[in-house]
Amino acid sequence: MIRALRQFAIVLGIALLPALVSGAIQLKWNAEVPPKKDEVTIAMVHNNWSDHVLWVDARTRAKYDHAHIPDAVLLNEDEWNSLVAKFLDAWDPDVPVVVYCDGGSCDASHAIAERMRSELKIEKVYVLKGGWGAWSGK
Amino acid sequence: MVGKIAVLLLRVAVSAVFLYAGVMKIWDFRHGQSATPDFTLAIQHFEILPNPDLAVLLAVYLPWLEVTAALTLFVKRLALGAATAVTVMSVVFLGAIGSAWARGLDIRCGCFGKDEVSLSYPSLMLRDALLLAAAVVVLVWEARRKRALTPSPEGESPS
Amino acid sequence: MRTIRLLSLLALSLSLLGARADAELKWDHPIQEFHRVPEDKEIYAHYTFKNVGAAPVTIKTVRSSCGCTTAHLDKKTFAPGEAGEIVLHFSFGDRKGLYRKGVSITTDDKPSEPFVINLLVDIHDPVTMTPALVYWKKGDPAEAKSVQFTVEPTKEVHIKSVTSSNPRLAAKLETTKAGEQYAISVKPTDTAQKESAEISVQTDFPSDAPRAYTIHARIK
Repeated sequence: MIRALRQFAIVLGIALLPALVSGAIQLKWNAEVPPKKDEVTIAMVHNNWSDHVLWVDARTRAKYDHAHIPDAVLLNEDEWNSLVAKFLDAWDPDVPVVVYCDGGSCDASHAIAERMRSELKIEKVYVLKGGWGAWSGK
Repeated sequence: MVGKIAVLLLRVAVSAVFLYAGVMKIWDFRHGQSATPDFTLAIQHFEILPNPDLAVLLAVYLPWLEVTAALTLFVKRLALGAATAVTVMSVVFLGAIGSAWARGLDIRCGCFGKDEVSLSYPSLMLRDALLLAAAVVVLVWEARRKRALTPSPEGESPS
Repeated sequence: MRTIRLLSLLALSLSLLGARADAELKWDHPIQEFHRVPEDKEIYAHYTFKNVGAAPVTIKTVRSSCGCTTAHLDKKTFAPGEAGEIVLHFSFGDRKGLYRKGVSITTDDKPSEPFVINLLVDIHDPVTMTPALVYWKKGDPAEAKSVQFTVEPTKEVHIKSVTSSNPRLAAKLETTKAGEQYAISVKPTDTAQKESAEISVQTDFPSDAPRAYTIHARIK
């Protein structure tokens, strides 16, 4: 049993070497998956900001109308031009903005957060890890 | 004697499957590019990892583990560990597919137009179950071989 | 020993049942790139493929990374030698800039190995106006803030007018270099109370439907 585990560990270790090389090469050549330092969890929102944040829903209007985080403002890529003024009315420079979309692999929340940073020069913008899935699942 | 040949055939089969699977997840030969981004996407679609970024790490490491395990299945000193690795991976794959099936992972945006969409989960599960069975056979064989080779008070001889 | 032998033979024969005749789809152009302008509003991209294998192939799932890109497929099963296509429809909405939309496709011969077709679109705007938001906090000095309007080198865009929706947040146009660079200066009357204004920057480009850009001004 111990022998099996020891050999298993060695195999895991051997595999790690080419994986690290491969990973390093790919990170260098392809910055498609940058580390997401702006992600926060629901726990972080609760602990760091006592839930005092401006929630932004980056999903479709249909999904927003069906259900959204209480007091969340809709701002999606499809209707940015017509919705951004309303978002800015609710926005407060001292209150963190947390953008969410569907769940694990959607990129709408990051796109909206990035547009807030680059166009509006708003700095305190974060993305909810897990999105609506994380909220409705809690 | 027949048992030995059968296990050797299974060992070759399991090794070939994992070697092929691993290589295919490392390099996309058809387009001459890395297969990692696509594999990352595939992992994320299982919606199993707590953090979607972990998918990248897994997408880079897992294929190399498959290749290493496949090759070390034939290295006497590491064959037991390799058999453990392929067994563990088969169990994990089976679990992941089963979990995705149970959650009925859907196509959220109705991209198929009016048509409904279905994955052939049963055939996927069956294929991985067979792989697991073959891996377990090799693992048990290796474990018994190891135990038989270890000197014991009773003085057992390798069968 | 006998048990192992029997189990081995059973597992081996069962696994051989899972083997399939070689089936596969060959895609002509799985990555397609387009250059468009916001006025185009949408794009249809045709992804053609052919079944070059010896067995029929059925497309099982077509999964898009977002709701803005939908896929249309007329039929799902293709005989050996048969060709087909998936049409992707990407609706721009208010998007600008570079977008990469991946659509993941699985077939019955490789249900756990999705093939991704990619649609790359550059929704191009020659104008950069930054920042699109200027704000003051109550009690801040009522100083003017400047917004830069820059046109990329090969194009010419002229600003025809600058209008604020709120007289207490006044906007003034300064022409740095006509058709190439402008500065719009926004100044509040005072910062005693909360205010909001949308400042419309009207241009002459494109000539058939000239765009207006918006500067958002707030006193918080």
